[in-house]
Amino acid sequence: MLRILRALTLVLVAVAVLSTPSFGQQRSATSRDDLSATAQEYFTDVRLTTQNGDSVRLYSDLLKAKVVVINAFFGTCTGSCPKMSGILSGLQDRLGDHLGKDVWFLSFSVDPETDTPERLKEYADRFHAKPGWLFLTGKKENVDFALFKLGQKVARKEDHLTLFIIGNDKTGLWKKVFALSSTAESLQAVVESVLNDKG
Amino acid sequence: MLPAVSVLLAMLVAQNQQLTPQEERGRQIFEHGTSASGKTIEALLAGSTRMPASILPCANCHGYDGLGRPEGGVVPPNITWEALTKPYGLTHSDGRVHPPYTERLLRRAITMGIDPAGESLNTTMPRFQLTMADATDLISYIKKLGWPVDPGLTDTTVHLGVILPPPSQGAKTSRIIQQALLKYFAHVNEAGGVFGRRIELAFTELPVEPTNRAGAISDFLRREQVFAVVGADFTGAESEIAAVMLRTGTPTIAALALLPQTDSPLNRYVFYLDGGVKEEVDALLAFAAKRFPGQSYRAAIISSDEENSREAAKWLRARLTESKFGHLVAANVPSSLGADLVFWLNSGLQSPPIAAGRDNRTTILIPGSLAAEVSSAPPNAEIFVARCAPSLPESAALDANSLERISWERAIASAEIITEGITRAGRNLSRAGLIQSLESFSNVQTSLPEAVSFGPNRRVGAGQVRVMRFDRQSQKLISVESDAHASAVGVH
Repeated sequence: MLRILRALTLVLVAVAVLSTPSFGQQRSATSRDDLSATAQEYFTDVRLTTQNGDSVRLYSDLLKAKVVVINAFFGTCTGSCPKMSGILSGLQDRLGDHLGKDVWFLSFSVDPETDTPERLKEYADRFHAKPGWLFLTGKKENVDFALFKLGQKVARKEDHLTLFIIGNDKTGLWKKVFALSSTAESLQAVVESVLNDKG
Repeated sequence: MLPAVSVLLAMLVAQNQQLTPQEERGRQIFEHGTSASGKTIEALLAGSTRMPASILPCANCHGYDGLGRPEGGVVPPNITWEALTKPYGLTHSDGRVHPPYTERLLRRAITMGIDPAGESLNTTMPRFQLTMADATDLISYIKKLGWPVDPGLTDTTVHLGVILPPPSQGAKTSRIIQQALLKYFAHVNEAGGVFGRRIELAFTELPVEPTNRAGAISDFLRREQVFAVVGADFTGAESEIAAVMLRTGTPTIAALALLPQTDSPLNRYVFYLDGGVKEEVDALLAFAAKRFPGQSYRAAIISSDEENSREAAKWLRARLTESKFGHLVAANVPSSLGADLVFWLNSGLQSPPIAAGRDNRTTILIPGSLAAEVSSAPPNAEIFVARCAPSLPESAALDANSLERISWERAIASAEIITEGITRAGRNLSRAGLIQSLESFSNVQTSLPEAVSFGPNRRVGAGQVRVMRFDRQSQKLISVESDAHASAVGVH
């Protein structure tokens, strides 16, 4: 686990370093492209499936040039997951039209075999998820790979982390928030700080 | 004098095991987050987010026993009344200390998130917007947490119910199931029972008339006060009997059920051995799509008015409209026209009134749980049978004897499952504990060929379905894996 976290940290740092303009305030198109290429190489375009049954690519469709709030959960979890989803539900109300335009929520299932798109749709409806909030499942090896890349892979689903990861792919700024001590309000402040990051 | 004392003791025990209507309403709030009044209970999460309490009922985090289930770094405290009211107060794992709770202080904690010391509770504890009546109901139930409230349970016995097939299906099947269970539990009891508790059985037969079945089961449960039901036959009234189990909160292992009720919202109380006839139909369809690729084929569906047959046909017709099966054209084929493949959804198999299709060949596809006997099939037909794996090992002869063996096997499997479940639930057995322990089953071996798994979202134990070819000469079923014309079909 430590190794995974370290790997993720390294890459996040690498992405952050790459994103830092060397001179002046304007970043050249080339460095942005480099950053994107590096991120794409790291995250890859592994295929996942949304609660609507759409097939999506991890980097190109979900992360590229976006501000995202990521968490890991599973649909049959009764303790911490409904709380995390509840906080996201509260946050989506606060974000209003920004959700799906400036900010996306990505909830990755750590139990993709049970969490079929139909079950995730039902779960999403329970939390009144709006279109900018995607619940992700798919082939187990694909989802495991995506979770590994996000530093969220666990051996037992019950061991999933209770973190929100807030990232801005354009600037390479990533932050982590311990979900269970946060509120929709406190999370909104972090999301806005990442959203307003100028790189 | 002595009989009077016994009667008094019996009454006290009975009282312990029955919830009052108020406590029953409290239990509904505790376990489901819903109010008997029908009004939605709102929970305020993390200070600001409003959610229905049904998403976060007390039992989710504190457990059905109230002892608390640590998860994701959160350690929900023990909320049994005994723990909450310790005269010397409480010290929590995070170092928080406070005096004992009273009813009033507990109501304030649940609704406002303030402990007896006046401190805020952890933000992971939602604040529940309860009416005074709901709060009183809930607290009356919290006082009962940890008490033996489930019926059919004493320190020395577990009383289980068995639902046998109706007399119309022949006394033999009924007798086989009865003998299998009596024999199995006699062994368990000889070995000392489970945690010193003997397993006792109460039998009932389903009425002949399907419409009377749910009512009869309801009466049986009320009369016998069983802890759980094992070896249950749901045939003919599957959804109605499952609904009775849900209403009465009776954990049930359904041994004979062709139409498992697994739609959302999930009925937590009924566990099925396998996926039944719909999964068999799915396996046959996948098999047919592989065996008849590319062209257009005429698929005849032969069904009867019987519920299982009708439901299987409805399911099959719906699946046939999916594009991947577009080349299999469903048609009520008159006998003069012929069909390339026939889905035989009747129980029993007489000569089907179908002329052979192209090349004078017909393939008959049979969900095995509907028709156990296929020996009288027409000579120009190839026959394939899909069978949920637990029901039939490979190379089994398909005759009346095998039907008896299937009944025996399924009864024993259901007994093994409930015994393992009761064992895993531990000394402090409860219905909620039994359901939780059954949900922890992962590849548990029973006497059946395939291991059984359940989960919080899974009520079908064995998912594998095998398609087998019926060999006329040996009268046996041969796996199609060894058949040059087709490949094996696995579902799940």
